[in-house]
Amino acid sequence: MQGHTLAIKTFTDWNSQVLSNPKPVIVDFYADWCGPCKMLKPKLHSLHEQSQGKWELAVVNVDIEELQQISSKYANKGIPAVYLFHKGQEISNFLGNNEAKAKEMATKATTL
Amino acid sequence: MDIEQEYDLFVIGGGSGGLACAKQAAKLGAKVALADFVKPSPLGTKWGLGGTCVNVGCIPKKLMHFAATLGELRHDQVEAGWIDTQVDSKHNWEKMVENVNNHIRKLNFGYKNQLLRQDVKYYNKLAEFIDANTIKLTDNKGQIETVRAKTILIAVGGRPSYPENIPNIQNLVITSDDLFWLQENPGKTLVIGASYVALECGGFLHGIGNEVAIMVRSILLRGFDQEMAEKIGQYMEEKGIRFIKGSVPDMIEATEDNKRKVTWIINGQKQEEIFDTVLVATGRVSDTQKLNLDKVGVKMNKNGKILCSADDKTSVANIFAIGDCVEGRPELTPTAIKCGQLLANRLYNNGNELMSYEFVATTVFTPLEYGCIGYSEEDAIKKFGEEKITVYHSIFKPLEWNYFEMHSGESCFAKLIVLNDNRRIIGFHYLGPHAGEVTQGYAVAIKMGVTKEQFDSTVGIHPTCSEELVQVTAVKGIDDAQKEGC
Repeated sequence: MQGHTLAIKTFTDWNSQVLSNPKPVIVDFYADWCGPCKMLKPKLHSLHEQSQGKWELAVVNVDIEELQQISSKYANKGIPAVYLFHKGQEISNFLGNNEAKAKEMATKATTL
Repeated sequence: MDIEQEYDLFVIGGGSGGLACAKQAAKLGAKVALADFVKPSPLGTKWGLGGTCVNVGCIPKKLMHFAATLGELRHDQVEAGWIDTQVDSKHNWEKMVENVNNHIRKLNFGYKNQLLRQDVKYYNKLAEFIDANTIKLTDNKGQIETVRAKTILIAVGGRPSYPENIPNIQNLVITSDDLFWLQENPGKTLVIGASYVALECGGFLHGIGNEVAIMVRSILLRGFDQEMAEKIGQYMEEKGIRFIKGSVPDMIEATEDNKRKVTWIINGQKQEEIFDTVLVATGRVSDTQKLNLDKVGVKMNKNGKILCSADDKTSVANIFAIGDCVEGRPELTPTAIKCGQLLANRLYNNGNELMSYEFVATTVFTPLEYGCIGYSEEDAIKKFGEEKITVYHSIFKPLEWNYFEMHSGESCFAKLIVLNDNRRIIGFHYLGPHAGEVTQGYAVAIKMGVTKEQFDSTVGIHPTCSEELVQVTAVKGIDDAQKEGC
């Protein structure tokens, strides 16, 4: 099953596709210049493909000007920064290219 | 208008000086805010937090200079035995720029996070004085807010200036503000200027395979040792960079296919040529025009540079200024950083150390690099008198240059200027590979007052270029700089 990724580009996208999403959303804060981000991305994609549609995967490029306030809040300790949201609430998060934590988060997302 | 926030220190400008002072002040417990806003260049180029060095100066310059030197190394590679090295392969500008820009964005991000972690409030807004304690902040959508602060630091740096005699020049040429963010190779380029910006940029553009001409009005690297400057120019000419000497452009026009037709006059004769790009590097101007400094009484010289005392105070008691925007300061990142940190210490930790600009080491990253500390020969003669100094000099050839036969045995050069009275080395000049790395260590010794005899008693590391400096014996005016024999 092909999972599709939600590319968050505007403030409106963030509100509607992450905070207001009826399904749990795993959000990946990344940048094009970030090596560990590049390594984590395919792992998140693969977990998403195996999830059978139970949760959504969203990505936020921290260099996007309009999203600076959001990026500053969630990515201020570094990137990749990955958050699990459900019904507008932040459930959990992890920092860095951490496959084990990604799996843990994906499992949690399926149970919500 | 609601005046909300109040800070101990408000820093205008998020470059080398501003960031250093803000972070240090916050560390010492002050409530600090910083405003950084990049006014786009006339061609629309803009960038993030970090100032000139990070975005349109030292960092991209050094990366591009390095890219060019890698190209030159191909010839050495062949002679050192590597197979399949293509000395004529082309350079991919887009790939280099993408990597350089990504690194810069990583730095922008890092600085933003540093400010956040150290509790420095960051405003990406254009600041302007309302009075000596009140600042108006405007964002890129025109929205305004006002803040108050007990102490204000101006660290706005500078921007490239343009020659005034050519109509519409700002839309016809690029400057260093644009070069490092160009999405396409600038092609056949005319560089106007003889500053280190002009020579460094012209140098690496040629090194990556572009046709480059450099138009200079009179001398190269004004303010630097002129014997060294001439050798730098000579090396660049030998490499194939064309110098158009004794000239300034008379006219620059866009052609039908968007190239640039440049006209200039030499010996009364009009010359003209078509270039893909014209890069102007004739100087920089302090970025103080829109701050409203006249209204608050901060005095500037006629070029907009702020007048400060040795403790960085302006003519207004609670307003300080550091870095490129201040008269008399070297336009360098490390001095701005140190100055900012010392200022924070004096303001918030009872420190009393003032910034010293004596014996600051620098390096010019021209195709053949030049590192220097202290006095140029001209300045030493002017200050002390020719009879009071001894100049030692040496021409040398790096060992590694012996693979590829086209390397010159006469380009690299070292010079020490010694004060006869106390034998202190007051001028250090090195023209050769890895000049920055070679020069840095000697800066410690020179600041400590090292003598020529102490240099001579130091055993050199062999085989290196640096060892030349502790072995030079030839005296200028008596001995040849060139060693004899094989």
